[in-house]
Amino acid sequence: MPSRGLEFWDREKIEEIRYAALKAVEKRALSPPMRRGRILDRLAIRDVRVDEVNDLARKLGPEGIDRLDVDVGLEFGSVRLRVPIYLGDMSFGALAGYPNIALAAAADIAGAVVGVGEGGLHPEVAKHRNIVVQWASGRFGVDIDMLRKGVAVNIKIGQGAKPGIGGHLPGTKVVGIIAKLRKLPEGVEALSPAPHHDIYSIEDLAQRVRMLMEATGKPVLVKVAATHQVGYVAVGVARSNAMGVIIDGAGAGTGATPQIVRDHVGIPIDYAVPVADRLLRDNSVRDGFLVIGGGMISSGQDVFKLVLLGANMAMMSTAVLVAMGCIMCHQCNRGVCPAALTSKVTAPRRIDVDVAVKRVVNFLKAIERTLKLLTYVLGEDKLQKLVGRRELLEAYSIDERVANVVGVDVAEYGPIAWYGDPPSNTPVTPEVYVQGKTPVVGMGGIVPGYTTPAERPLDLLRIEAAQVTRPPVDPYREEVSLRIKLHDGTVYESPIVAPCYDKALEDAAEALGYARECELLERPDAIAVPPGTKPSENHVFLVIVDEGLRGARRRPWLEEWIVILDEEYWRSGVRDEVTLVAAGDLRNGADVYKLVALGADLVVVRRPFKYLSQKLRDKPYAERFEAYLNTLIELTWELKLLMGAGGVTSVESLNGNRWLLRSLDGHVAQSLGVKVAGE
Amino acid sequence: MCGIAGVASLDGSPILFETIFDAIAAMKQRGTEHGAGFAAYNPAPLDYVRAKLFVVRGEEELVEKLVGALTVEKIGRIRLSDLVYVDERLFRDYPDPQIMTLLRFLQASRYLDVFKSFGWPEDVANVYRLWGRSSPVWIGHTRYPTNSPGFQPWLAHPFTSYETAIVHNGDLSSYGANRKFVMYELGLRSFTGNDSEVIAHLITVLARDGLTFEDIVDALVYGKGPRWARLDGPFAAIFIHGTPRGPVFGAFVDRHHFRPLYVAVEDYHIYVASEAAAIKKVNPRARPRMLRGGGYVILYPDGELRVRGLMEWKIAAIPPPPADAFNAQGRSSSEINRVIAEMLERRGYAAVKGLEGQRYIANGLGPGKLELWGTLGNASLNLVRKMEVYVYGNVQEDVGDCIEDSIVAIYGNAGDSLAQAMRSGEVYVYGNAGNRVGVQMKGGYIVVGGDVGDYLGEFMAGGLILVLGKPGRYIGTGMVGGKIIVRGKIPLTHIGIAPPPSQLEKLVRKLNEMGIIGREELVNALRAKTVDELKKALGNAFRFIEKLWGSLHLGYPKPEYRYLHDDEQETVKRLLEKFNMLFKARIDVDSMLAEKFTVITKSKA
Repeated sequence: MPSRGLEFWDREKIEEIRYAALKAVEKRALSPPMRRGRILDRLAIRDVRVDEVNDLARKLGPEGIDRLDVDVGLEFGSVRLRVPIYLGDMSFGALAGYPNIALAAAADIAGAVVGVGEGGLHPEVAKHRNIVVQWASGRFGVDIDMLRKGVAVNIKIGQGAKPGIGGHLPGTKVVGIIAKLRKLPEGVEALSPAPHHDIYSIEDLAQRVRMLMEATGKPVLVKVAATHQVGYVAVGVARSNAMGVIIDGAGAGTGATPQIVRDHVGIPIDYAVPVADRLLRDNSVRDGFLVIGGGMISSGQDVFKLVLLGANMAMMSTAVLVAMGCIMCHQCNRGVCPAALTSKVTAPRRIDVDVAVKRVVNFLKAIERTLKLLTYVLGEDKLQKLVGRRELLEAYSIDERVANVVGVDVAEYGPIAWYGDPPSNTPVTPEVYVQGKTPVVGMGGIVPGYTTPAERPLDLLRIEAAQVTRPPVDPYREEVSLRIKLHDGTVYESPIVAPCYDKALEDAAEALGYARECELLERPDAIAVPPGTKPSENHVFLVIVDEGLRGARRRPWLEEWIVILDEEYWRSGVRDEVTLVAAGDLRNGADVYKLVALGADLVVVRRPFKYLSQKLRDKPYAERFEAYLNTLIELTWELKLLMGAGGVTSVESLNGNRWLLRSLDGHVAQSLGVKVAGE
Repeated sequence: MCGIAGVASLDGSPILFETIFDAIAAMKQRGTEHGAGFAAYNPAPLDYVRAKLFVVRGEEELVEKLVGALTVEKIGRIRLSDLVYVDERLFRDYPDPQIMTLLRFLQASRYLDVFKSFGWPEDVANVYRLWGRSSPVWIGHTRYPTNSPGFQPWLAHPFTSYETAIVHNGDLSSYGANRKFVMYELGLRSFTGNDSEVIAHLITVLARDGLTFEDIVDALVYGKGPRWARLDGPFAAIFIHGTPRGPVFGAFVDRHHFRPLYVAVEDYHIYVASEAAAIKKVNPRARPRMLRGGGYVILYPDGELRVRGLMEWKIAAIPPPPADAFNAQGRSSSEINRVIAEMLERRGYAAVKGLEGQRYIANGLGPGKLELWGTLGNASLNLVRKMEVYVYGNVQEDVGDCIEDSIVAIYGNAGDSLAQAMRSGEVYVYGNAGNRVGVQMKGGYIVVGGDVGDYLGEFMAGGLILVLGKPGRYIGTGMVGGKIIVRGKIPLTHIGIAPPPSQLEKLVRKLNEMGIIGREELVNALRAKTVDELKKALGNAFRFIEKLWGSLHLGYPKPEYRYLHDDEQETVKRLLEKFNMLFKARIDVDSMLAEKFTVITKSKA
């Protein structure tokens, strides 16, 4: 049950985009590097003074920039683009139709390209040239005529907002022509399978690429979410004869995604692009291959730095929605968009297409101008010559391991992680405790510990999702087993342990076959220790590491101590005779996943139940029981979703499997024995 | 990643290297120039460990220091590149795990001979001079690197751990857990980072513990052994385990059948390969059969053969091809497609014989009539429209994706994901079919005469699937429309996906204990075999349980075991008569229609 906090698309970003959409030039071409936030924000262009660049922009003015003899475009299949922007794949259905038309028209005018998403081709969109049609796992709206439209076909494997999860158009939006095009009954959730059921491996993908090339005579792109293996996936895609790879980073936009997945799975684009670029070069498959990166890209300087990191093009989606009027209310999944962008197709209100086209064209023009100016400042005549020139960048507040991954010099050492205090209150919503539903949200913009302060080292860990090399598993359709057997043969139905705050909570846990903390503590072979203390007795087999036994938040953290004890028990050959329990102010299924992967067998999740036990204090027993039951079940689904995303079907395969975790921060990586994202 | 193959003689007689090479070479599309390898059984010379090490220039001294004392004889060097060579020696005994960790061992085994490097399979054969060699068993591999660099020879397959050599096609999500287990069990300290090697180590550990190879496979595939030995994610593997009595040869696939393996036993040989066509290539008489999810074959040194999960070979009577049929033997799929398109254009009819598993055949074509003889390869007949297609043979994976207004008759078996996202038309299969028949079907009819695998009609939105044989598990999960009709009564546990029964039982008992449901409701609930029965038994209290199916669920498939309704009778009759006509089958339609069927539909909108 993650909380909605600060986010990337804040008031200032939205204002900047609106400015550019109005004036066709950006407020600022370049900003000084920051010491927090994305890597992109921490990067400076070597020997380039920010104020001089912005002064030059003012001096030249928009027309002056246009006159610069600089080319920021590139060849994209059979067309030449004027600006290296791919407008992300927002489907007809996720968007209300008119926005789809506006995007396609704007792409033609501005010399960009637009992906149409899954769900069929709107007849008006089909009239445009610079469109990329999509082949996705649900095959919604796919036929041979549709595939032959546009300049390229995009095989959509994954997206940054929900790596390892299939496309999802909520039932409220499956109405009218959308239901007809997708060949679904009205009102049912349009769920695309998590994997393509014909692509379980890189050679399966290669097969599909060749099949689509033969059948359509057009180049093929492959879109994947940025995950730990992204570099190798990119190389595999390149070897399959595809024209390019679209890598969608963490925090990217979406019409609907389970919040737990959006917040914890996959890695940011500024880690993924340089890694992919480097591996493609190492394997001699970089030439002529397009790398398109997306996920929280909002401005010309973002695009420019992404190109220097190794991308040929940037994908922008949320930013163009903002240009068309999105106010970032995160309600896209409900079909009642206040800006009439993501409403259901039958909604009466619609956007003014002409105005929307104008604004998107202006926004793209503004990006084009910034790119021209920055390319000119670096003394180049073609932006594509700057692809992967990482030596032109230097980073502020970055550690050595991350700098190595990104491949940039360090201007100033510092941690990626920045910590804030936990919120005084993390409410559990009625959606969870009354309906037992996994919260689904629209839009991205949040990567805990990256776009927002971290509460604890766990937050810097990103969870692996399966993309191409193996299929993810959809826990609603396929089995994900959480059963866990302790050293003495006791079996629990999941590694989630309920704290004993309330008899009703204990009963709910018992009803589900989950352990209760007090029951564990009562066992004769159990001991509870704070992080930093090793259990002294030799006959102890159930070790509860409880961060509540110790004062303030300090090292060693619970997660660090779990890693140390797990290693120690393995080393002394007794790991299978010990049960290791992590107990603390833990919040959600992601915390459970991460602690199990770090070495815990069971995890006591306290925060949501602390909140609920207060909130429900005066309610009757039956109501409390049901609320706790729902909350425990919801936690379980979070865990299953996260496991399924990585193609992990048994909690036994998760235990101690640190391979499935990557850290955004080098120091956290060190202390938890995991690799850095992209390593 | 990759294409794998294996061959063994049932009576221990020698097999030429060329056999395994031809099988691997037939799967060129599954590999790259980034690595290949082979392994054989070779107990000579007795009493010594044959060690092969990859040595990078500059490491010679370190190698000598670490294994010099252990060395009985230096056999020689094989140069792989300017930088790397393979140093082959005989050791008195297995080296210490510490030493194994510090050097790059290709093998250190008493009974195995393993050859691998970068390059295509023929490069490896040349550099190790494998032509003309023989062994009672061979495994081979051609590599499509997925999660590791492609230019290091030690990352090629097979991977060897003591007396086990393995070739693997897959990507283990359990890698981190498995690695930890074998690291401490075998005292290893470092790994190549390639997930495949842990399988070899796991087999070493489990065999050391005295498990039979059937039990080893169950430990790896179903988690019936030590906790961290379970393999998760996709895998298909073929292995040799050397013993003084001879080699154990085996192959297995993950329980979801995420990776293909085909098996044939013919002329006292057993053949295993990623593709049926690879087996046909080395023995045209062989009848390759699909190994279903969780299946295995194991051949012990005494010739005892253990098999689980092999799809039965089933094929209808096949007419001879016309004289002017295009012969596809040795032709590329582009050539074949050009010919088909041209024939269709000219006379609305095309005939192709001698198909050897070529892929992407006839995609996007139509209208017209097409007759095909042989094995139809992966991703064929996709997106065809208004076509009438007769396949006189087996079809492999992903045939008929997004098919529209067409009739397809398959005279043999079909692989996985047959007619995925089919839009309309009719597909008939005389034999058996793999997993995920009709997944995401939007409309039309599929008829399968034999058995089908798991996830039949998953995510189905419309149309009808009729199965006359036995279906696998998880039928109709995520179904939002359409109908599945299966002959006879099928175990209700095979329909949809359910929370663990043990958990349901606990929860229901707790509700009774709390007084939320009474004794009678409890008894009925515990007896319930379907979600609907459970719902009926629990009444209002069902809401406590419902969420275990998930909040995004689209309902649960609803099975009924009953006689067909009139409209269903009419449809099924038509389909069966057509089936009889197409395949000259002799189904007694009227008496079959008098039987009960299991009819599965979505349970709510």
